[in-house]
Amino acid sequence: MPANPKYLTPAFWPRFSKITAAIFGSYFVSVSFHLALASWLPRPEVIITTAYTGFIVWVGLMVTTFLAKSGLKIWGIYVLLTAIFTALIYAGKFYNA
Amino acid sequence: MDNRNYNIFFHIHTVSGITISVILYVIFFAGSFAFFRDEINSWQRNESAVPDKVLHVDFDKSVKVLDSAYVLQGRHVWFGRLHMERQSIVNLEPTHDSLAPKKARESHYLYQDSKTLKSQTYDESYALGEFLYRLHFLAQIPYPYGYYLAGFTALFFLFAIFTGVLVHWKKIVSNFYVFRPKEKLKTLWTDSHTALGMIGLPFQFVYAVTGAFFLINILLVAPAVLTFYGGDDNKLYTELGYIPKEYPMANKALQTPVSINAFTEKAQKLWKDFDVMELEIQNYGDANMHIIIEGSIPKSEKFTGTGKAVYKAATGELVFQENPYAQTSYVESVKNILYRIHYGDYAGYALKIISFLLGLLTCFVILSGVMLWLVARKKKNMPEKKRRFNERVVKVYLAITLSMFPITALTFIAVKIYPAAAMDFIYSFYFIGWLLLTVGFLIKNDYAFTNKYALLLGSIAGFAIPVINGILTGNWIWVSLKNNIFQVFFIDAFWIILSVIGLFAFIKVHKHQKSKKASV
Repeated sequence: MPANPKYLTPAFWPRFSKITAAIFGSYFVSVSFHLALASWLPRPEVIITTAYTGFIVWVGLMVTTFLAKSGLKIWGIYVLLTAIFTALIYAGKFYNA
Repeated sequence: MDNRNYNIFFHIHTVSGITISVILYVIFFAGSFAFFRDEINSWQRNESAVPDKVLHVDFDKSVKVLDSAYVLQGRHVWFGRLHMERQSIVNLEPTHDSLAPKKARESHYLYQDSKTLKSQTYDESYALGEFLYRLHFLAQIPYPYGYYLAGFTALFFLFAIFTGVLVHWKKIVSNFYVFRPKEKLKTLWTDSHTALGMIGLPFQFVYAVTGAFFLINILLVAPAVLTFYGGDDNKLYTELGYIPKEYPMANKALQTPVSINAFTEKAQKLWKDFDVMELEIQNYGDANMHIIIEGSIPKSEKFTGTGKAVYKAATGELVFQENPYAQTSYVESVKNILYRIHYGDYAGYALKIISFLLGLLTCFVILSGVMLWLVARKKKNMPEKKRRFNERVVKVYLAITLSMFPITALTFIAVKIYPAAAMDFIYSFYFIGWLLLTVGFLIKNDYAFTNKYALLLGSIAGFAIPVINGILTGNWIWVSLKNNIFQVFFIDAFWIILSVIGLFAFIKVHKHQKSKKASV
């Protein structure tokens, strides 16, 4: 009873983009999200929390990535989210300086 | 759950699980033994220490011995008892005093016996417990590759846990009551994989997250350091309270020598039941010498009750204190808890034994997953070539993983027979022996045989461990019990019980195979 192949992604590029989005895209989102929190909330507390939630969020996103219909689309979403969080980081750094 | 999602989760669970399985097994098997790292080290040295992390050290005597051997003038001297062994760790930083003799400019990391005050280097004090402990994060592979490999394995283990829960979500409760060991082999693997996986789930989750944190925290730390601390990680660690305050040198000699013991006694009077676990002397022999005493109150009193007292040596004045009974900050709690829950060292032997069993249970979950993967693909509609390939993969996996039990037991015997056993000996014996066993099992090319005889060999060697220890040291298990050499007794008793379980499993497997043959 291996998984039914009709639901899987056999072609190279769609598969490749999904796997890279899962590993790297999720990482960028998780890290930028936590850093955005750290730039607005008490920093040592957020950073020490990241010690465990950083991995949990990363892996959680990794799992959900594979549900995406298109690898390119999910990459797009991750890049957009990372950009938004990065903007929040710099806004926080500027505003709270 | 809709069919598409289920099949996707199922597939990525299988792929991630199969990929990490062997390494994860090694990590969990060695890691289970690592719970008893300190006992194994003490057992090998044929000694026993108080099972806590308190510094039972006469500091004045120790400092005197260290000063005559290494010259302490102007140095920072750090004492800590990181392990429940007779040796405590002493770190000597190079001196800050430009007038100090040349000898004082070398740094030393020493293991000092609290009774004899004899010091050993790391290599000299290396023992089997340390070897198994380091094997569980693959430290024998050159740094940093071994650490990173183990760290990413932990990360993908978390991935396999998440997807595993999703796949089995609906069946969690019902499956818990279903265990059909007498059914056909596939149901046995399925049931044990899901039911035991569920029992171990909270345990495994904690180890996956903390394991990733220990080994690949750089992935989270580096971006934070670059974003907020201008690339200077010292600033981050100072803000998180990892780096102690530095007291500068006065560059004048201390007028009257002081007793370190007097300061630890003073600190112990500050708070009830306060135990000294770390002690640092900054600027030894200088007018601005400081004594930093850290410790904690019993875990039963407060889970993260760490206290700190800093004294200026010249005046005896208490310049800083942190009350262990006061509210611990969130940052301090997390720092402490991340370690405590991984080491399982906060509730005595009961918790360690449970953790050990859960560790082995995880090994079983990993192997049953691999078997499940194989059995599910042993179908007529699978191409013959693919089936043979799968079978070969599983044979290699089983040969590697199951050999660990006998080679670990045999290494315990080897270090007793050869008392000078240090790093080189343990490395060659363990790794070459492991390779030989693996190759032997592969030549035999039969996984029922591998399974049975790995169990049998491990159990026989396991039974031999207390016997050989008794013959060679005179510390038979009843002698060590009577004379209260607890750590020696513990390891001997531990191997007897483990071997009984191993033998029992062997007999079960043996009977099962016989009955199968008879019915054919």
